[in-house]
Amino acid sequence: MLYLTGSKFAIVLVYVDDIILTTNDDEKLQEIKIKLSQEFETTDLGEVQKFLGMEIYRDRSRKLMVLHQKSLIESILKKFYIDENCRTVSTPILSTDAE
Amino acid sequence: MIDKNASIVSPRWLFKVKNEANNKIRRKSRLVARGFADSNFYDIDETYAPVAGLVDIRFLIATANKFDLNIYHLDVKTAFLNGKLEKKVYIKVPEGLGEWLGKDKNFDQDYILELLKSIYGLKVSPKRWFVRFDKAMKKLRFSSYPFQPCYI
Repeated sequence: MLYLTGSKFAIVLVYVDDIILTTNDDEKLQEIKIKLSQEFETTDLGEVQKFLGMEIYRDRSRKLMVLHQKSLIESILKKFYIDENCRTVSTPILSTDAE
Repeated sequence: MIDKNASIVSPRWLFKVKNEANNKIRRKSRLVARGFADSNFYDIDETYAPVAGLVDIRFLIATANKFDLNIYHLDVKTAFLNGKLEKKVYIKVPEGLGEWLGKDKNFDQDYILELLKSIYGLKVSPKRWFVRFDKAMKKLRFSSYPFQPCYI
């Protein structure tokens, strides 16, 4: 779903009952939040931390955004009882490239 | 008033024990429909509901990052229960309801119930919820992204 007026825009994305939205218009943001909560019972989870199992880490000062699935990996390790008896090793990926 | 051609969907109770953050246990129950065993005929446009693709999710978060914007997360509680049913859907009396209402043993067999809301598990529920949400967004003067058309 897309909403545009001049230089202002708002993007709302819905995945069944999960909604993420971004906008450069603070008034519109309030309008969306209020109207949607009037229409449906919603929980405001604030800034997105996790969406569809995908965790979002941001460092705004560096305009950095990292998507990862740490909690999913941990839950799999836990499920197969290898979380406590394993040692972590760094992978051969260039950390500077990753950023 | 009753659509005699409609076949009756059978419901099922779903129980869930949830461990909450403060070491409390919450017991939840939800009445769901056994939609997979629903023998009524539905057109594809009655049951098909679009969801956002991965591309769209990437597009949104990339845009937010590019323009250094906040991304907000909202969650709709019991989303499907917001949907309004277009056609009548009947279910059998859920287990325990007769007893709870103090009715006799035959209550379960003698009655069927008409659904007022699209409950979880129904074939049409995802679409009903989507239609409802779409209307709400249109009211907010949103339009759907033209390059990823959501067929409605």
